[in-house]
Amino acid sequence: MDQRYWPWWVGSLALASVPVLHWLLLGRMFAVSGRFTSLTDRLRSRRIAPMALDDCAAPGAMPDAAETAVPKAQGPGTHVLFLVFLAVGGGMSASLRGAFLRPLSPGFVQVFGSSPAVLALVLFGGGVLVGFGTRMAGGCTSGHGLSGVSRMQPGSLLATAAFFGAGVAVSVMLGTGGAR
Amino acid sequence: MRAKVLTCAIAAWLGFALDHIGFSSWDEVHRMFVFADLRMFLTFVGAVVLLIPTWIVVARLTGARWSPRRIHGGTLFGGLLFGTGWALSGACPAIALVQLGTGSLFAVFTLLGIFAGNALYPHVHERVFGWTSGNCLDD
Repeated sequence: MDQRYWPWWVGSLALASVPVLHWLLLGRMFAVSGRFTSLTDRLRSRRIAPMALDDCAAPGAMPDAAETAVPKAQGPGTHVLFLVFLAVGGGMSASLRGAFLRPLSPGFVQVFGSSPAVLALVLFGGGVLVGFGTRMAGGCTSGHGLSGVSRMQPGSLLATAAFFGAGVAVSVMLGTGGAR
Repeated sequence: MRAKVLTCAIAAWLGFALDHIGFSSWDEVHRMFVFADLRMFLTFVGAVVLLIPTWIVVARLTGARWSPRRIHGGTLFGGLLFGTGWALSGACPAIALVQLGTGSLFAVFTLLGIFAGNALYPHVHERVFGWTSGNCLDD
C-alpha cells in the first residue's frame, strides 16, 4: 500500500463515521462548504446577499426544513476552529504516514510545469471554481456527496454526478492519473 | 463549550481520515477520477453504502428529520464548476485545509480561491441567476 494509505474498507468506515458523529454529537447534518459560506457572509456582513437569507432566516420560509431539535447556528469562531482542526488532523496523519512537508504531487507538476507562479494561479483558479461551484450547487463532497447521497436526496444525487463527472472529464483531458 | 470541543475533535478526525485515505494528494485524486486506482472510489462508495442504512436506523431511533436537498437552478452547473475546480486544484473545500496541515503550503492559494469564489457567488447570483436554492446554506 503506497504511502501507507488505508485499504478502501477502512477508509469507508472512517468516512462514514464522520457524518454520523457529526449528527449524533452536534445535532447538525455534516457539511463543510456551508461553513465557508457562513464565514464569508460574516466577513461582509454589512450587506448579506438576499439569497443567503431567503432560505434560512424567516421562520416557516422553508417547509420541511426543521430538523427535529434545531440547534443554534454555530458561530464564526466554531467554523474557524473546525477548519483549523481539519488541518491539525491532516498534519497528524501525514506525520504518521511519513508524508509531512512533501513536495507538490509529481503528477501536478508534470501537467502544469514547475513555475511557482503558474502553479499558484492554477490552484487559485481551481479554488475559485470550487468555492463558487459548491455555493452555487448548495454543497460539496461532504454535504452533497456523503450526507445527501446517502439520504437519496435528488439535489445531492445530481450535484454529485455533476462534480464527479466534471472531475473525470477534466482529468481525462489533462491526461493525468498515470501509474505511480 | 462542549459543542466546540466536539467540533474540533470531529474536524481533526475528518482531517486525519481524509489524509489517510489519500484525498489530500492531487495525484491520488486523479487516479480516482480516471479509475486508474479504484481504492478511493470504493472508499467513497463504501461510505455512502454504510450511511444509507445508518440514517434509516438513526431516524427510527431518534425520530430525526433532515432538511431536504432539492434540485434547483444551480445544482447541475454548480456541480460541474466544482468538479472542474476539484480536478484542477486537487481539493474540495475540506481538503484545502487538510493539505495545508500536511505542510503543502501551496494550498494557501487554493484556500484563498475557495473563499474568493464563495464570496463572489452571491453577487453573481443576485445579478444573473436569482433562483431560490431550496437549501439552508448553513445546514
